[in-house]
Amino acid sequence: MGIKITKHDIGGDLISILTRGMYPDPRDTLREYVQNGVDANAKNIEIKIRGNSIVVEDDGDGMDEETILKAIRVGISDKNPKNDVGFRGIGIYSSFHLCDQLHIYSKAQGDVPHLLTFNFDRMREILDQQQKDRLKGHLTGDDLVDLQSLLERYIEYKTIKPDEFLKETGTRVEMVNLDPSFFKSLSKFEEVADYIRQVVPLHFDPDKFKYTQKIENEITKLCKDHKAGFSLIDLTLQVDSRVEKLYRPYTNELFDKEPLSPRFRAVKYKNHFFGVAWGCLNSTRRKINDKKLRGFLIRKQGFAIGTRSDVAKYFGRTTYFDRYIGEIIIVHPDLLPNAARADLEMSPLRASFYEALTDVATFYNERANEYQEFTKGDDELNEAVEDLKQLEASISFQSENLEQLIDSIVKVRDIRERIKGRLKRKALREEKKDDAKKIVKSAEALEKAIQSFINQRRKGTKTKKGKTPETKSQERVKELPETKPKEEENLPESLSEVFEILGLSVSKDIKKALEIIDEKFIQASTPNKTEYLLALKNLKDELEDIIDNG
Amino acid sequence: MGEFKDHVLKKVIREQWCKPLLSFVHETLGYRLIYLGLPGPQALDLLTWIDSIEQVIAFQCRDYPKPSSISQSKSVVQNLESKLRELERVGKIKTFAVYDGYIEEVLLRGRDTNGNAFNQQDIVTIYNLDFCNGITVPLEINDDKGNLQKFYKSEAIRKLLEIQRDIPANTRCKKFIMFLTIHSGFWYEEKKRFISQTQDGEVKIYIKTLEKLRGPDQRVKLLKAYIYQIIKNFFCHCDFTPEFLPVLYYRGIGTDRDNWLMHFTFVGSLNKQVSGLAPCFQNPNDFLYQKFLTVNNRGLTQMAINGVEEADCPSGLIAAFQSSESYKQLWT
Repeated sequence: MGIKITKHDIGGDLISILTRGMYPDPRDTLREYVQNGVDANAKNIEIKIRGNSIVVEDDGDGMDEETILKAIRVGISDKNPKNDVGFRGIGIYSSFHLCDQLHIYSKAQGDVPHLLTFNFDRMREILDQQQKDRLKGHLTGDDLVDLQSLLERYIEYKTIKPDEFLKETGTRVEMVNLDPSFFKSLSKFEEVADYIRQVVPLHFDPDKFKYTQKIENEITKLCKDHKAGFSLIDLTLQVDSRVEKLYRPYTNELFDKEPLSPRFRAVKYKNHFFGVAWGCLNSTRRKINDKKLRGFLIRKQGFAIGTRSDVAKYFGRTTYFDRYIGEIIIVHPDLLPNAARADLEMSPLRASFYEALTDVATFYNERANEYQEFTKGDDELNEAVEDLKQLEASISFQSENLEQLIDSIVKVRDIRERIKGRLKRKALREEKKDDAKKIVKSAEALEKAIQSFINQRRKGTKTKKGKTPETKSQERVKELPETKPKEEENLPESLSEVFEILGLSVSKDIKKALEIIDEKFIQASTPNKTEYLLALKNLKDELEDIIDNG
Repeated sequence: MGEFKDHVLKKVIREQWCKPLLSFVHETLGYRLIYLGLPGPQALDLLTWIDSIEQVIAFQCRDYPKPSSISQSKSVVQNLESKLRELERVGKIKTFAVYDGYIEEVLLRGRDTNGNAFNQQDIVTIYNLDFCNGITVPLEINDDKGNLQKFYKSEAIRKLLEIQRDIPANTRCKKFIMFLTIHSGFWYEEKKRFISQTQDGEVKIYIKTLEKLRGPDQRVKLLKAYIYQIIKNFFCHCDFTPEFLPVLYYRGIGTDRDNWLMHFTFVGSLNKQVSGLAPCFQNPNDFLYQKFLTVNNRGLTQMAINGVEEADCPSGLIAAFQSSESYKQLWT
């Protein structure tokens, strides 16, 4: 038999406990009210943060009387988790600890405007006082204010005149008299903007990110194909008199030169289709410049779930993960975020999603590895051509110095084997394979020529009539593929810079230690600045290889 | 600022002097104006001019005239913010910002008492600098390093003009009105310094002609010349051609002439030269040897000060501005 629960069994403190736990960062409150706007089909949202108040205003559908009164309910929501971002019925209270009063003005099409006022200061006063009284033993559990009474007493509702809220449709949330301790973190434009850019479904920046259109179109199409809701909003943030339209945080400048064209990958496992991932790889073999944006972020209906570092573990080592900027867009209606939006809700489906995520990670790791091999292959071909040209120029076929010629043969063989190895491992772009074969052929011809010359010298015979060795050398050089001038490399000028260029963060103490090692060992063991810089470059290359290859 | 209660003369100025000019500017520029100033907790000036205003950047100190402190009650600042929020909600203005503190300290420190950074992104079209103490009286405030610094309201004006000059050009042109209200007293040491140091030939002659005057008659005329000189200097250095419109001289608190207030109206128009300062087209004597207008319950009247030959102010403010060289060259 069920037991009877009365309103006295649910304490008023519940609202304080819930909101404190669920919205530890005051910026989470902004996200909650933006979510409500998105769920109301808003296309434009404004957040205005000023000395004593915050306003979040949208041009969504607005609320009629029935809807606005239902918004007061705690933990009950008419929203559908499949379509709506916020559906737990708690977000409206997210500013409980942030402000003294919350005013919600809303107007639906053809309706009068409504005003809902939450006197959070009075609620907090009651709860604080009873906490003190309890500590003194003046109150027992039975004397505590229940949630229903607390809300009934300090929430007011009324309809207002049309000219008191001049909007066709939409909702305006005013958080008034902010707690100064919270306000500190909300008054810094960049900090709030960074947060919003990460968690809210903003458009990509058409002026600053070259793949804006491509990515937006692809995701929109995919969501449409799967009948999934996916909205992007225009959001303007104002902190005091600084006003800016915000976009997703991705720009071309985050990449060393420019981003490579995005790759898309379906996120699926067995017969479950969860969504799509997009990722742009850095065009150099380096990490994305901004640490906060390296890797992939999971989003559901545009709102972030967890952080990028939560996704990194599915990629194994972070070497390739850190060279990407991307997102994993979930469109599966049954895959839901947990209340804090830090992860997905526990369910068998969640396990399948993470299986799918492993596959996505493998795909992007492979692409990054392939790109690394190809670009290294390009560099190696260039180097081989330059080395062969240099050898051809330095070898004198009149020389009596056979030792030098033998050394040259060793070098030529090394070049030939390296390129052959690449061809064998298929670690070259398709279009570069012919170049590689030409290099191998040229190296073989040069080796043969040197060998033949050495043999003649040893036997004391003379060169047969025909083309001179110099002419043959020129012909071999002509046969070599053209090389591209090497792009300027970011070269270190100190040991600390080696670590900086590789994106390895070091503490102040370690940095100091590196400076000592640099001075006492590296600088001491190199005769001049040129040699010193070369030693640093070699060290950087070696460390890079270690990082790349684990 | 907050201390001054609204009185009927200020109402006359807002309604009969400022409002028609702002409506004219609004109409001429083709867009509503961005206001920066000290509207006071009641925002009475804004309420009067609201049809011409789109955005507001306001400064409000907590406890005038005491130095700002985080421990003071914020209620006046909150009241102003609440009023502006209401204007925004009912669609009268598009947006606003309220800085908590004295304008000069916010501009010097770059942030207000709450620690919020001062930021002006767009071109201000109406400055309303209603200083109720003298422009020549410095405010002592601590800078970031805790050093006590003297900061003059005139410095605040210079800073505002520099900010305005440095804002990248956008859809709004750099033309603006500046209202400056100051106390006509608080002006003794600076008066002597001004008389002895001024280099401007026309101003020097003007000072000479004032020697026959005594008391407030002389002081207020000298103050007018002083304001003329610093404003012209600031405007031209910041690439703005100034136009000086008639000055209102009216009773403030009490009847003592040293407690009277002066209300200046300047028009600024960007006029950047390839090299050198922006020119001032206006003949200084046209401004200096012009009568004050004074204000009574019914309106504005010419005010003659015996002992100096002065011309009447033009009968219509807008007509006077339209006939000016800066209007003809830079506004049409």
